[in-house]
Amino acid sequence: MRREVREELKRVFEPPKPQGKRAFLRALAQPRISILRFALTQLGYIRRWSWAVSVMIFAGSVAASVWSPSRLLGIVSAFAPLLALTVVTESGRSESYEMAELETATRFSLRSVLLARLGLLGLANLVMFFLLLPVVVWRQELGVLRAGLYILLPYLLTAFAGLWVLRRFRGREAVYCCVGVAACISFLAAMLFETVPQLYQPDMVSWWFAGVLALGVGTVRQCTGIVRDSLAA
Amino acid sequence: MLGDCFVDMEEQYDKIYRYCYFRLRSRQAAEDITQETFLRYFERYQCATSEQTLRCLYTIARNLCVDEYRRDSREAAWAQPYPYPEEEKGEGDEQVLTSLLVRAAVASLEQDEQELLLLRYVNEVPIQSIAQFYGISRFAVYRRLAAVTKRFQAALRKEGFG
Repeated sequence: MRREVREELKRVFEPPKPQGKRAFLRALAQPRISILRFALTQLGYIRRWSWAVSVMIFAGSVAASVWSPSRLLGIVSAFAPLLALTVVTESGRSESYEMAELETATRFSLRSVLLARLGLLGLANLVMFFLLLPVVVWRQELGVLRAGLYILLPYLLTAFAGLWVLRRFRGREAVYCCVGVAACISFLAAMLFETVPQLYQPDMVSWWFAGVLALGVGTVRQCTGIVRDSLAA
Repeated sequence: MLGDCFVDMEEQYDKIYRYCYFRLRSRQAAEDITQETFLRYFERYQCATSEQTLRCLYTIARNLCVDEYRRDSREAAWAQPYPYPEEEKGEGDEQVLTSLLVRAAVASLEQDEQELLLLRYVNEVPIQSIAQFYGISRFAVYRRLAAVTKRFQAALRKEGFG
């Protein structure tokens, strides 16, 4: 068919201009996406070093279980804050790089993005915890509860302190501050295990339990606070 | 973007609206059905390819138009003439004559033939999507399109077009 006829055909079939097109397209909600698929898209945005740190901690812990089984708990306790640091810095990335406004303007809310990333890294850390726990229990001849508490306390302390810092400081300083806090807690955990073995006696378990419980509640509150703050970003 | 199919939504809005207007000859009804088409698409479908997306959109639009016929007894709507666009009114005699000849040639075709011309040459729907829309093979679409184009060109010649 000749081009001029085709062009004329388009004019022949031209309807009157639609009236509500702009308003409709503006108001039309974006297509829905499943939670799993959304989480998978966020997986790609989590920095590689976060995963690399997790893998290195796992590899280091496994190596320690072979080369220095008596110090394994101290080593894992010292590593736990670094693991928490990956979650803390990832959740504060938008704030640190002052990208919160941009993310809130995109397809998904910043709240959803934060929740997805926190959830994914939290899940990864949980898997790591359940992988390391039997190794620690086996090598240190501890009960599951005690070993879990000794690993969880420094982890939760770092997560709580890091999130608290993130909510109060802005920009890159917050990240440096979190790294400093994590390093201090890591050092403290390793030192206490070596120098104050009384802390790790069975009669102290109730204190550890109370500490884990309090820090768990505090961490959850900080997480919800961060998500709530993101709504105002 | 439309769904996961990387189809431009604004462009498709115009094309679906043009299709609905062809079926109903009412701006308000065509626009309502176009919007309903998109809402239903997003509500119920997740197409993997742009061909599937187009097939879904045109199928929903066609079914909604059929419902509209039944509700408003618009069976003969398609036979009503298209409004003459405002901008054409100031054009030269030759352009106006061409336009009138093409309109007359289009009017001489059956509704399903006009629809095929609209889908392929105006809305530029891929052959694959047209085949899925009609539930026939691509070869059948090619054959029908060739036959309709031949009839259309014969009608043009009959009207005295170059």
